[in-house]
Amino acid sequence: MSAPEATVPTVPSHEDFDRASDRRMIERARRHGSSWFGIRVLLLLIGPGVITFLGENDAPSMLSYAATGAQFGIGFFLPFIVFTFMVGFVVQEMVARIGIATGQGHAELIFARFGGFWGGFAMLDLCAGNFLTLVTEFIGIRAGLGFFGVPPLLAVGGSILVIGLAISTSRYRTWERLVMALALGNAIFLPIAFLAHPDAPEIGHALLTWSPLPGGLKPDTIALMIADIGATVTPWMLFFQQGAVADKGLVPRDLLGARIDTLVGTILATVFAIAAVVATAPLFAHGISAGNFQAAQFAQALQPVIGRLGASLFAIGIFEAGLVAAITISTSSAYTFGEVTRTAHSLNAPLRDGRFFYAVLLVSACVAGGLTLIPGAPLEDIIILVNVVATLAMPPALLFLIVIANDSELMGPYRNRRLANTAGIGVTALLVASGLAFAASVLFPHLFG
Amino acid sequence: MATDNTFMQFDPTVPLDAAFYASRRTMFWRRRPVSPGLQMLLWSLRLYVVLMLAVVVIELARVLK
Repeated sequence: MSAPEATVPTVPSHEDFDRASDRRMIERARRHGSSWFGIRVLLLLIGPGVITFLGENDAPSMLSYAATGAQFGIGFFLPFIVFTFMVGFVVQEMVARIGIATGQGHAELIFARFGGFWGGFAMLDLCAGNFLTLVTEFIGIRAGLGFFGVPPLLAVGGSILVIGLAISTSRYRTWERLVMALALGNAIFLPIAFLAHPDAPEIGHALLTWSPLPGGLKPDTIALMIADIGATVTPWMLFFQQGAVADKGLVPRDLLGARIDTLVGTILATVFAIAAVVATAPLFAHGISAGNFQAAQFAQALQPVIGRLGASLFAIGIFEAGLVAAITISTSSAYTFGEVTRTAHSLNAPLRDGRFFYAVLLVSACVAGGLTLIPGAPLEDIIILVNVVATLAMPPALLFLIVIANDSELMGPYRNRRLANTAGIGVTALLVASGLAFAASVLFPHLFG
Repeated sequence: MATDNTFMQFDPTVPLDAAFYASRRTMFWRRRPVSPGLQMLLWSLRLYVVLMLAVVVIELARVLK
């Protein structure tokens, strides 16, 4: 392993001291050696993976799962969703490993290793995808709270205030715990699923036997399948988790913990996504067409089937999903901006030092939220398409990821092994094939009956 | 790159850890050579994204109709 080109001797800054004191806490817990402290170490290490996956169970994703359940029931899509999350785990494990081995963000490494030309393209994809997704998060926030009669301005303004409060502590650890508590609110889809009186043996059967797709492969079905893939793997997740792992100050010793963190996030997000499908499956059973439902309409349509409580919980779930994702996506944009411009990019940075970082975070949220307040803008029509766009932009991002994960200079002993490479290349090929299938279904719909 | 020993060899205090984090944060990696094969793959995927975005625009126009 050769040394980097230049390492500038640096005086530790505020963010480094914060990271170091967090590290002491982990090391103190580790020294105890008892199983109780083992759990404590794990709890201290858990964060980036869980937040990434629960952040990705965002408003468009939960609506995509809801549309899936309402249009197709559970037979085909439950195992399909489990499969997409397994794909997500393969990708995010690589991301966490790179963050741990290098201590740097994803954008930083792409720019350093591939130069500004390719880095610029990667940033273009990310910024466009992040902004579109951020807009849909605010649509979700607006629609979710709109179910209770909250005015859009209050819903959007209040959410931006929460984002501002989360970063006002200038402490990664506090931010992480706050966002993780909010993200665990995604569990609200579990009681909604129970209110839909699910048939447990049927769910078990659906998970163990992959039933054929009801109605066959049609253009709308392909779009929904791709939206479901986009609900688990998107470019912002790469940039966010690596940035968060570096910001948290994880080191190679923490690799197992980071893997467990990613796995826990994957499992929680899978369970909550399945709950969303199960919750809306009664609409499919009752033959209610839900193809063009939006957030608030879903809650209204569910009310006769699962009651006012269930519908209200669904609306809260969409609001929560939108809020958490708005926080994580705007943070991913801010990490990327700081990494590319080589300005402070840490949630540990004091407001004065990280003014550009925090400004990007808040301004991107304000602009996206502001767009959703324009009267008559047809933004809700794009809510499912946003996940499709995310899936289509993923293959180039995955290529950078795989190349970096194989870079022995950067990764040392933590570089990809054959299994990780096979899985990574397989995922990339799958996403390219899905994109081509989507293109064929749009350009030649007659081929799909 | 950081190794496990960074923390294991010493009994580090917070300032030492902070210095380690500062050096890791400011480490600058030189540009790697991009092989012709990789360059072709990067261009192919770039073209793929542009074509797919055109498809999305077509689909969006249909949806809005």
